Amino acid sequence: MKVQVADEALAEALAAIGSPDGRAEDGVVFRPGPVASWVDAEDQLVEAYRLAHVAAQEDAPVVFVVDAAAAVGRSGPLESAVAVGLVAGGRCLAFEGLRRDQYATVVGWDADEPATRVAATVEQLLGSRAARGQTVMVGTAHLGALLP
Amino acid sequence: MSLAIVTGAARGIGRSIASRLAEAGHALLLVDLDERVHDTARELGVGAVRADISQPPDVGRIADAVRAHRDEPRVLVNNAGITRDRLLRKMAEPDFRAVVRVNLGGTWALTEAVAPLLADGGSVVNISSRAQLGNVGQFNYGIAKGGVIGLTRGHALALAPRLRVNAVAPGFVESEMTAAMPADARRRVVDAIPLAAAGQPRDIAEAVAWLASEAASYVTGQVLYSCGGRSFS
Repeated sequence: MKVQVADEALAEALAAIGSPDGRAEDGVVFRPGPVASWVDAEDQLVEAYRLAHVAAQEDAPVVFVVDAAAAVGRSGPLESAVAVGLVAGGRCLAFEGLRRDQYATVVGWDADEPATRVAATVEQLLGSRAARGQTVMVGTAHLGALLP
Repeated sequence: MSLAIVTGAARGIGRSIASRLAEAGHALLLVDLDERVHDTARELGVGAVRADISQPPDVGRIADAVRAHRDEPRVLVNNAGITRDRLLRKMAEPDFRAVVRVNLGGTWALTEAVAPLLADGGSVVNISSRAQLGNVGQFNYGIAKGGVIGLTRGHALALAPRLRVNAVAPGFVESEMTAAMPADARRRVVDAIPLAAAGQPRDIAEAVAWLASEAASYVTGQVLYSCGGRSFS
Protein backbone atom coordinates (compact mmCIF):
# COMPACT_ATOMS: atom_id res chain seq x y z
CA MET A 1 0.00 0.00 0.00
CA LYS A 2 1.14 3.53 -0.81
CA VAL A 3 1.38 5.63 2.36
CA GLN A 4 2.14 9.21 1.36
CA VAL A 5 1.70 11.34 4.45
CA ALA A 6 3.38 14.67 5.05
CA ASP A 7 4.24 13.78 8.62
CA GLU A 8 7.18 11.68 9.81
CA ALA A 9 5.51 10.42 12.97
CA LEU A 10 2.42 9.30 11.07
CA ALA A 11 4.52 7.67 8.37
CA GLU A 12 6.39 5.74 11.05
CA ALA A 13 3.17 4.74 12.80
CA LEU A 14 1.74 3.47 9.50
CA ALA A 15 4.88 1.60 8.43
CA ALA A 16 3.23 -1.74 9.16
CA ILE A 17 0.67 -1.21 6.37
CA GLY A 18 2.68 0.65 3.77
CA SER A 19 5.29 3.20 2.78
CA PRO A 20 5.96 5.98 0.27
CA ASP A 21 7.39 3.31 -2.01
CA GLY A 22 4.30 1.15 -1.75
CA ARG A 23 1.96 0.46 -4.67
CA ALA A 24 -1.09 2.71 -5.07
CA GLU A 25 -2.67 -0.24 -6.89
CA ASP A 26 -2.86 -1.90 -3.46
CA GLY A 27 -4.39 1.10 -1.73
CA VAL A 28 -3.59 4.64 -0.67
CA VAL A 29 -3.27 6.61 2.54
CA PHE A 30 -2.68 10.27 1.67
CA ARG A 31 -2.16 13.26 3.89
CA PRO A 32 -1.57 16.59 2.13
CA GLY A 33 1.52 18.65 2.84
CA PRO A 34 1.67 22.29 3.93
CA VAL A 35 -0.25 24.79 1.84
CA ALA A 36 1.08 28.35 1.59
CA SER A 37 -0.16 29.35 -1.86
CA TRP A 38 -2.68 28.39 -4.52
CA VAL A 39 0.07 26.49 -6.35
CA ASP A 40 0.62 24.39 -3.22
CA ALA A 41 -3.11 23.78 -2.86
CA GLU A 42 -3.50 22.68 -6.48
CA ASP A 43 -0.42 20.47 -6.24
CA GLN A 44 -1.78 18.70 -3.17
CA LEU A 45 -5.19 18.13 -4.73
CA VAL A 46 -3.64 16.88 -7.98
CA GLU A 47 -1.47 14.48 -5.99
CA ALA A 48 -4.60 13.18 -4.24
CA TYR A 49 -6.19 12.72 -7.67
CA ARG A 50 -3.17 10.86 -9.07
CA LEU A 51 -3.04 8.40 -6.19
CA ALA A 52 -6.80 7.86 -5.97
CA HIS A 53 -7.01 7.47 -9.76
CA VAL A 54 -4.55 4.58 -9.68
CA ALA A 55 -6.27 3.01 -6.67
CA ALA A 56 -9.70 3.35 -8.31
CA GLN A 57 -8.59 1.35 -11.34
CA GLU A 58 -7.85 -1.59 -9.04
CA ASP A 59 -10.79 -1.01 -6.67
CA ALA A 60 -8.18 -0.49 -3.94
CA PRO A 61 -9.01 1.40 -0.74
CA VAL A 62 -8.31 5.11 -0.30
CA VAL A 63 -8.01 7.00 2.99
CA PHE A 64 -7.42 10.74 3.11
CA VAL A 65 -6.03 12.12 6.39
CA VAL A 66 -6.70 15.83 6.88
CA ASP A 67 -6.25 18.33 9.70
CA ALA A 68 -9.44 18.34 11.76
CA ALA A 69 -9.31 22.12 12.16
CA ALA A 70 -9.07 22.61 8.41
CA ALA A 71 -11.83 20.08 7.77
CA VAL A 72 -14.27 22.22 9.74
CA GLY A 73 -13.02 25.47 8.21
CA ARG A 74 -11.08 26.72 11.21
CA SER A 75 -7.76 27.05 9.39
CA GLY A 76 -6.65 29.49 6.71
CA PRO A 77 -8.79 29.61 3.57
CA LEU A 78 -6.48 27.49 1.42
CA GLU A 79 -5.76 24.87 4.10
CA SER A 80 -9.50 24.59 4.68
CA ALA A 81 -10.16 24.42 0.95
CA VAL A 82 -7.80 21.47 0.54
CA ALA A 83 -9.14 19.63 3.58
CA VAL A 84 -12.84 20.13 2.85
CA GLY A 85 -12.14 19.37 -0.80
CA LEU A 86 -10.65 16.01 0.19
CA VAL A 87 -13.60 15.35 2.51
CA ALA A 88 -15.88 15.86 -0.50
CA GLY A 89 -13.59 13.79 -2.72
CA GLY A 90 -13.73 10.93 -0.23
CA ARG A 91 -17.52 11.02 -0.36
CA CYS A 92 -17.61 11.10 -4.18
CA LEU A 93 -15.20 8.18 -4.39
CA ALA A 94 -17.24 6.25 -1.82
CA PHE A 95 -20.35 6.67 -3.98
CA GLU A 96 -18.44 5.55 -7.07
CA GLY A 97 -17.05 2.55 -5.22
CA LEU A 98 -20.37 1.24 -3.88
CA ARG A 99 -21.02 -1.12 -6.78
CA ARG A 100 -17.48 -2.48 -6.84
CA ASP A 101 -16.84 -2.46 -3.11
CA GLN A 102 -14.04 0.06 -3.40
CA TYR A 103 -13.52 1.62 0.00
CA ALA A 104 -12.91 5.33 0.60
CA THR A 105 -13.05 7.42 3.73
CA VAL A 106 -11.51 10.43 5.48
CA VAL A 107 -9.83 10.81 8.87
CA GLY A 108 -9.68 14.19 10.61
CA TRP A 109 -6.64 14.63 12.84
CA ASP A 110 -6.82 16.93 15.86
CA ALA A 111 -3.44 18.59 16.38
CA ASP A 112 -3.39 17.39 20.01
CA GLU A 113 -3.76 13.73 19.15
CA PRO A 114 -0.70 11.48 18.74
CA ALA A 115 0.13 10.03 15.33
CA THR A 116 -0.15 6.54 16.76
CA ARG A 117 -3.84 7.07 17.51
CA VAL A 118 -4.45 8.35 13.97
CA ALA A 119 -2.58 5.36 12.54
CA ALA A 120 -4.61 2.98 14.69
CA THR A 121 -7.81 4.58 13.40
CA VAL A 122 -6.65 4.28 9.78
CA GLU A 123 -5.77 0.62 10.28
CA GLN A 124 -9.08 -0.08 11.99
CA LEU A 125 -11.02 1.58 9.18
CA LEU A 126 -9.11 -0.29 6.48
CA GLY A 127 -9.67 -3.52 8.36
CA SER A 128 -13.36 -3.07 9.05
CA ARG A 129 -14.25 -0.94 6.03
CA ALA A 130 -16.55 0.94 8.35
CA ALA A 131 -17.54 4.61 8.02
CA ARG A 132 -17.37 4.48 4.23
CA GLY A 133 -17.39 7.99 2.78
CA GLN A 134 -17.53 9.58 6.24
CA THR A 135 -15.17 11.85 8.10
CA VAL A 136 -13.91 10.15 11.24
CA MET A 137 -12.54 12.73 13.66
CA VAL A 138 -9.68 11.65 15.94
CA GLY A 139 -9.93 13.94 18.95
CA THR A 140 -12.58 16.22 20.35
CA ALA A 141 -11.14 19.70 19.83
CA HIS A 142 -13.72 20.40 17.14
CA LEU A 143 -16.66 18.62 18.69
CA GLY A 144 -19.87 20.27 17.51
CA ALA A 145 -18.26 22.15 14.65
CA LEU A 146 -20.44 22.24 11.61
CA LEU A 147 -20.02 19.51 8.98
CA PRO A 148 -20.27 19.06 6.07
CA MET B 1 -24.96 53.09 -5.40
CA SER B 2 -23.47 49.76 -4.38
CA LEU B 3 -21.69 47.58 -6.92
CA ALA B 4 -22.09 43.82 -7.17
CA ILE B 5 -19.58 41.75 -9.13
CA VAL B 6 -20.99 38.50 -10.53
CA THR B 7 -18.86 35.88 -12.28
CA GLY B 8 -20.20 33.35 -14.76
CA ALA B 9 -22.89 35.91 -15.50
CA ALA B 10 -23.39 35.41 -19.25
CA ARG B 11 -26.20 32.89 -18.84
CA GLY B 12 -27.99 30.46 -16.56
CA ILE B 13 -27.66 30.83 -12.81
CA GLY B 14 -25.14 33.66 -13.03
CA ARG B 15 -27.33 35.70 -15.31
CA SER B 16 -30.30 35.15 -13.01
CA ILE B 17 -28.23 36.23 -10.00
CA ALA B 18 -27.23 39.38 -11.84
CA SER B 19 -30.84 40.21 -12.70
CA ARG B 20 -31.97 39.63 -9.12
CA LEU B 21 -29.21 41.82 -7.67
CA ALA B 22 -30.13 44.55 -10.15
CA GLU B 23 -33.71 44.36 -8.85
CA ALA B 24 -32.29 44.78 -5.35
CA GLY B 25 -30.75 48.06 -6.46
CA HIS B 26 -27.14 47.10 -7.08
CA ALA B 27 -25.06 48.40 -9.94
CA LEU B 28 -23.43 45.41 -11.66
CA LEU B 29 -20.13 44.35 -13.11
CA LEU B 30 -20.57 41.08 -14.98
CA VAL B 31 -17.67 38.69 -15.58
CA ASP B 32 -17.54 35.68 -17.86
CA LEU B 33 -15.23 33.94 -20.30
CA ASP B 34 -18.26 33.50 -22.58
CA GLU B 35 -18.46 36.43 -24.98
CA ARG B 36 -22.24 36.46 -24.50
CA VAL B 37 -21.51 38.32 -21.26
CA HIS B 38 -21.52 41.51 -23.33
CA ASP B 39 -25.02 40.74 -24.65
CA THR B 40 -26.26 40.12 -21.12
CA ALA B 41 -24.63 43.32 -19.92
CA ARG B 42 -26.28 45.31 -22.72
CA GLU B 43 -29.68 43.85 -21.86
CA LEU B 44 -29.26 44.77 -18.20
CA GLY B 45 -27.63 48.10 -18.96
CA VAL B 46 -24.51 47.32 -16.92
CA GLY B 47 -20.77 46.83 -17.40
CA ALA B 48 -18.93 43.62 -18.23
CA VAL B 49 -15.45 42.15 -18.35
CA ARG B 50 -14.71 39.13 -20.52
CA ALA B 51 -12.16 37.23 -18.46
CA ASP B 52 -10.94 33.82 -17.36
CA ILE B 53 -10.88 33.73 -13.55
CA SER B 54 -8.32 30.93 -13.58
CA GLN B 55 -5.75 33.24 -15.22
CA PRO B 56 -3.95 35.70 -12.87
CA PRO B 57 -3.68 38.51 -15.45
CA ASP B 58 -7.43 38.30 -16.05
CA VAL B 59 -8.10 38.43 -12.31
CA GLY B 60 -5.97 41.57 -12.24
CA ARG B 61 -8.07 43.09 -15.05
CA ILE B 62 -11.26 42.34 -13.11
CA ALA B 63 -9.85 44.02 -9.99
CA ASP B 64 -8.83 47.02 -12.10
CA ALA B 65 -12.38 47.29 -13.45
CA VAL B 66 -13.75 47.20 -9.91
CA ARG B 67 -11.35 49.97 -8.83
CA ALA B 68 -12.30 52.07 -11.84
CA HIS B 69 -16.04 51.67 -11.33
CA ARG B 70 -17.88 54.74 -10.07
CA ASP B 71 -20.02 52.74 -7.63
CA GLU B 72 -18.92 51.39 -4.26
CA PRO B 73 -18.16 47.65 -4.42
CA ARG B 74 -20.15 45.80 -1.74
CA VAL B 75 -20.96 42.33 -3.13
CA LEU B 76 -18.90 39.65 -4.86
CA VAL B 77 -20.64 36.55 -6.19
CA ASN B 78 -18.24 33.77 -7.24
CA ASN B 79 -20.47 31.76 -9.55
CA ALA B 80 -18.25 30.86 -12.53
CA GLY B 81 -17.60 27.17 -12.92
CA ILE B 82 -17.13 24.25 -15.29
CA THR B 83 -17.72 20.50 -15.22
CA ARG B 84 -15.78 17.61 -16.76
CA ASP B 85 -17.69 14.60 -15.41
CA ARG B 86 -16.25 11.10 -15.61
CA LEU B 87 -15.69 8.17 -13.27
CA LEU B 88 -12.44 8.69 -11.39
CA ARG B 89 -10.91 5.54 -12.86
CA LYS B 90 -11.36 7.06 -16.34
CA MET B 91 -10.81 10.72 -15.47
CA ALA B 92 -7.80 12.34 -17.16
CA GLU B 93 -5.56 14.63 -15.14
CA PRO B 94 -6.25 17.71 -17.32
CA ASP B 95 -9.97 17.30 -16.59
CA PHE B 96 -9.28 17.10 -12.87
CA ARG B 97 -6.93 20.05 -12.94
CA ALA B 98 -9.18 22.29 -15.07
CA VAL B 99 -12.22 21.82 -12.85
CA VAL B 100 -10.24 22.46 -9.66
CA ARG B 101 -8.41 25.44 -11.17
CA VAL B 102 -11.54 27.22 -12.39
CA ASN B 103 -14.09 26.37 -9.71
CA LEU B 104 -11.81 26.56 -6.69
CA GLY B 105 -8.69 28.42 -7.81
CA GLY B 106 -10.74 31.09 -9.56
CA THR B 107 -12.91 31.61 -6.49
CA TRP B 108 -9.80 31.87 -4.32
CA ALA B 109 -7.99 34.28 -6.62
CA LEU B 110 -10.91 36.61 -7.21
CA THR B 111 -11.82 36.75 -3.53
CA GLU B 112 -8.23 37.58 -2.63
CA ALA B 113 -8.15 40.30 -5.30
CA VAL B 114 -11.56 41.86 -4.73
CA ALA B 115 -12.26 41.42 -1.00
CA PRO B 116 -9.83 44.24 -0.06
CA LEU B 117 -11.79 46.52 -2.39
CA LEU B 118 -15.20 45.77 -0.89
CA ALA B 119 -16.71 48.34 1.46
CA ASP B 120 -16.99 47.52 5.14
CA GLY B 121 -20.12 45.46 5.72
CA GLY B 122 -19.82 43.94 2.26
CA SER B 123 -20.61 40.37 1.37
CA VAL B 124 -19.03 37.54 -0.61
CA VAL B 125 -21.30 34.74 -1.81
CA ASN B 126 -19.68 31.64 -3.29
CA ILE B 127 -21.56 29.08 -5.35
CA SER B 128 -20.77 25.57 -4.17
CA SER B 129 -22.88 22.53 -5.07
CA ARG B 130 -24.90 19.77 -3.46
CA ALA B 131 -22.59 17.49 -5.48
CA GLN B 132 -19.91 18.07 -2.86
CA LEU B 133 -21.96 15.78 -0.61
CA GLY B 134 -21.03 12.99 -3.00
CA ASN B 135 -21.86 12.26 -6.64
CA VAL B 136 -20.79 9.51 -8.99
CA GLY B 137 -18.54 10.81 -11.79
CA GLN B 138 -17.76 14.08 -10.06
CA PHE B 139 -14.60 13.47 -8.03
CA ASN B 140 -13.11 16.62 -9.59
CA TYR B 141 -16.22 18.78 -9.23
CA GLY B 142 -16.92 17.46 -5.73
CA ILE B 143 -13.42 18.31 -4.56
CA ALA B 144 -13.64 21.76 -6.13
CA LYS B 145 -17.05 22.55 -4.68
CA GLY B 146 -16.19 21.06 -1.29
CA GLY B 147 -13.07 23.18 -1.46
CA VAL B 148 -15.27 26.22 -2.06
CA ILE B 149 -16.97 25.49 1.26
CA GLY B 150 -13.57 25.30 2.95
CA LEU B 151 -12.66 28.62 1.35
CA THR B 152 -15.98 30.09 2.46
CA ARG B 153 -15.38 29.19 6.09
CA GLY B 154 -11.71 30.13 6.02
CA HIS B 155 -12.43 33.49 4.42
CA ALA B 156 -15.39 34.06 6.73
CA LEU B 157 -13.05 33.84 9.71
CA ALA B 158 -10.20 35.71 8.03
CA LEU B 159 -12.35 38.61 6.80
CA ALA B 160 -14.65 39.00 9.82
CA PRO B 161 -15.91 41.34 11.14
CA ARG B 162 -15.40 43.57 8.09
CA LEU B 163 -17.00 41.26 5.50
CA ARG B 164 -19.38 38.31 5.52
CA VAL B 165 -18.65 35.23 3.42
CA ASN B 166 -21.27 32.55 2.72
CA ALA B 167 -22.06 29.91 0.13
CA VAL B 168 -25.09 28.63 -1.73
CA ALA B 169 -25.10 24.96 -2.73
CA PRO B 170 -27.53 24.38 -5.60
CA GLY B 171 -28.91 20.98 -6.45
CA PHE B 172 -30.36 20.02 -9.84
CA VAL B 173 -31.13 23.29 -11.62
CA GLU B 174 -32.63 23.84 -15.07
CA SER B 175 -29.92 24.86 -17.52
CA GLU B 176 -28.81 24.37 -21.13
CA MET B 177 -26.96 21.25 -19.96
CA THR B 178 -29.84 19.67 -18.02
CA ALA B 179 -32.28 20.47 -20.85
CA ALA B 180 -30.30 18.07 -23.05
CA MET B 181 -30.64 15.15 -20.61
CA PRO B 182 -32.62 12.08 -21.75
CA ALA B 183 -36.16 12.16 -20.33
CA ASP B 184 -35.77 9.00 -18.24
CA ALA B 185 -32.50 10.15 -16.69
CA ARG B 186 -34.04 13.49 -15.89
CA ARG B 187 -37.08 11.80 -14.32
CA ARG B 188 -34.86 9.68 -12.08
CA VAL B 189 -33.05 12.78 -10.83
CA VAL B 190 -36.24 14.72 -10.18
CA ASP B 191 -37.90 11.72 -8.48
CA ALA B 192 -35.13 11.82 -5.86
CA ILE B 193 -35.88 15.44 -4.97
CA PRO B 194 -38.38 15.82 -2.07
CA LEU B 195 -39.89 18.95 -3.61
CA ALA B 196 -40.41 16.92 -6.83
CA ALA B 197 -39.05 19.49 -9.26
CA ALA B 198 -35.83 20.76 -10.73
CA GLY B 199 -34.70 24.10 -9.37
CA GLN B 200 -34.86 27.22 -11.45
CA PRO B 201 -31.94 29.66 -11.76
CA ARG B 202 -34.16 32.18 -10.00
CA ASP B 203 -34.31 29.90 -6.92
CA ILE B 204 -30.54 30.15 -6.57
CA ALA B 205 -30.59 33.88 -7.28
CA GLU B 206 -33.05 34.43 -4.42
CA ALA B 207 -30.76 32.60 -1.99
CA VAL B 208 -27.77 34.63 -3.16
CA ALA B 209 -29.71 37.90 -2.93
CA TRP B 210 -30.70 37.14 0.64
CA LEU B 211 -27.17 36.26 1.74
CA ALA B 212 -25.86 39.42 0.04
CA SER B 213 -28.47 41.61 1.73
CA GLU B 214 -28.66 43.33 5.09
CA ALA B 215 -31.34 40.80 6.03
CA ALA B 216 -28.49 38.28 6.44
CA SER B 217 -26.22 40.68 8.33
CA TYR B 218 -25.68 38.18 11.18
CA VAL B 219 -24.89 35.25 8.90
CA THR B 220 -21.34 34.33 7.91
CA GLY B 221 -19.42 31.16 7.12
CA GLN B 222 -22.64 29.29 6.30
CA VAL B 223 -23.74 27.06 3.44
CA LEU B 224 -27.33 27.36 2.25
CA TYR B 225 -28.47 24.28 0.32
CA SER B 226 -30.98 25.26 -2.35
CA CYS B 227 -31.72 21.80 -3.67
CA GLY B 228 -35.35 20.93 -2.97
CA GLY B 229 -34.33 18.87 0.06
CA ARG B 230 -32.08 16.56 -1.97
CA SER B 231 -29.12 17.16 0.37
CA PHE B 232 -30.63 14.86 3.00
CA SER B 233 -33.10 12.71 1.09
